[in-house]
Amino acid sequence: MPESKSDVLQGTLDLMVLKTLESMGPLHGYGIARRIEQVSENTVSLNQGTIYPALLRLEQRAWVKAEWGTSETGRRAKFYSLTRSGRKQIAQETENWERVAATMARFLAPSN
Amino acid sequence: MSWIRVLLSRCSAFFSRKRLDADLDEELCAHIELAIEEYRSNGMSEQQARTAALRAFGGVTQVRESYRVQRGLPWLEEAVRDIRFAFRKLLLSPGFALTAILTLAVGIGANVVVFSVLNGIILRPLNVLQPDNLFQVAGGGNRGDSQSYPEGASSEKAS
Repeated sequence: MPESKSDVLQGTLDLMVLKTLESMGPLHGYGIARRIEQVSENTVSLNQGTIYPALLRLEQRAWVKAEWGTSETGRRAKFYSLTRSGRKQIAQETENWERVAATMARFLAPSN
Repeated sequence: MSWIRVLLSRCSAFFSRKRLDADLDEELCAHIELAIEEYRSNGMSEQQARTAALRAFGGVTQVRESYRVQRGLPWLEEAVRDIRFAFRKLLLSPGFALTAILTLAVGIGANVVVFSVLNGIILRPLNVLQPDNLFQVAGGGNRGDSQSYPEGASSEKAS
């Protein structure tokens, strides 16, 4: 393997899923997994299956809702879409994430 | 209050496990099939596409398991399973079951009897206003030789 892939950090998968749904609209599990792989340009090693427990977690908190529908190739699949409280959650999690990232950046910056 | 939502969702999931299991299986199947379609459209053979799809997915069984743990009330499900198992075991060896039940019954019964006697005689205070001020009046020499109240009253009068 040329480059090492990093594992998905605990808690970031949820935000990735929410963001994906925000930008793509209703999507099935496979679509979400592929989209995350594409956006991250395959730098995270994601077992596509781990998306499902994450989706369940989001569904239980009513941040996403699921409905059976038909895929573009005519296959029956469960489609997930954001709810209103899901949108609110994105704003909040984004803020958290940016704060953490900014803190880390300060530590990683070359000291002088 | 998202934990209440989670709890409610877990409780309702507990009662429709069969349907949700079927739902999950269908969803995971659809995922694999969609992946196979994509790999095939990239020119893989059916077999290669299936292998690649399963590899990209990771362990289907593990996903199903962690999904179930997240979904319902795993500790309750486990307790129900344990109780069922215990009953099955007891039904398989009725002699042992009967002995165990009888032992418990006799043990509990004996304890109840001893405690209720002790409770009535020793633990509960006498049903008078100031039990501290009660005295036992007895004849001179023999300590155990007590008298009833009327008897004592009459001997008091006599003296």
